[in-house]
Amino acid sequence: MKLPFFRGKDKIVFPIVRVDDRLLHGQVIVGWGQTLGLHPVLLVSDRIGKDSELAATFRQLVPEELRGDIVTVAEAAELWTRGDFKDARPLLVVETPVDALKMVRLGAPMKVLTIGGLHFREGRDEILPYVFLSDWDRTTLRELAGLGVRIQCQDLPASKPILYED
Amino acid sequence: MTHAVILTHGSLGKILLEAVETMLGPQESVDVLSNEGQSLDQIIGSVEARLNDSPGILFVDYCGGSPFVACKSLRDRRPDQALISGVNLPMLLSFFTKRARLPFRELVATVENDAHRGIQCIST
Repeated sequence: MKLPFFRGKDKIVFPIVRVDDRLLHGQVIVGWGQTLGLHPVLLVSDRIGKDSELAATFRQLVPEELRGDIVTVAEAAELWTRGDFKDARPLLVVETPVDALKMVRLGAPMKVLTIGGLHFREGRDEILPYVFLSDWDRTTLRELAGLGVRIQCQDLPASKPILYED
Repeated sequence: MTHAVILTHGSLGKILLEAVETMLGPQESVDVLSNEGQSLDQIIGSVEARLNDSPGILFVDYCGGSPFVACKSLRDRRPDQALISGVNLPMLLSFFTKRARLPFRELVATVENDAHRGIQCIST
């Protein structure tokens, strides 16, 4: 496993797709969304669902200018492929690498996937203080890389993206 | 005695309690937690593990952060726990000085009110 610093131009590729098991939280909303003026900020999840309590909480909490919403994986892929993200600065947050892979399989032309936070859980190994990966995560990331997606780890805009290589 | 959980980003909660204790001396029935390095589910679990059977207040720092989301979610199972965001020193001083003599609902309202009153802006 190598984790070299990514040395290319650190130009942000939109939409930003972030894997984060805290979903929408301070780092995402303030650290990324408000700092970089991103919108829409979409929580991409089939699990949370539009009608859950958690969904209502997120809707209420995301500041209006970020135009937050909760969409399913299929809806996100649809928005992406039909060009809704063109000329925009969107941030898509998924809970697991698997949801990112599903989006790609549904046709989303994803170039970069950013792992922003996958925290400790039994059976996950530490890669970085904020990134712990299971075998399943690794397999999924390998498949994404095989589909031409660059995988990088980055918690905040100010920190240097670290290229993930299996 | 009304229990308190102070759950924040970084070490804010720990430092806030330290500040409270320099003014009021050591406090009982309070747990300080940080969200550092934890997923949403883990945060919920660690808060729930600190709760006893009686009503309490969950103090979190930022409305929209993972501590807030976690506690709001936890309240589905524990509606007896009040959740107050924007934890600050006036809020905690109010809580620790008044929790012994106010009934729970009144305490929650008073603590919120005192926290607001603790913010005064002097400007020309």
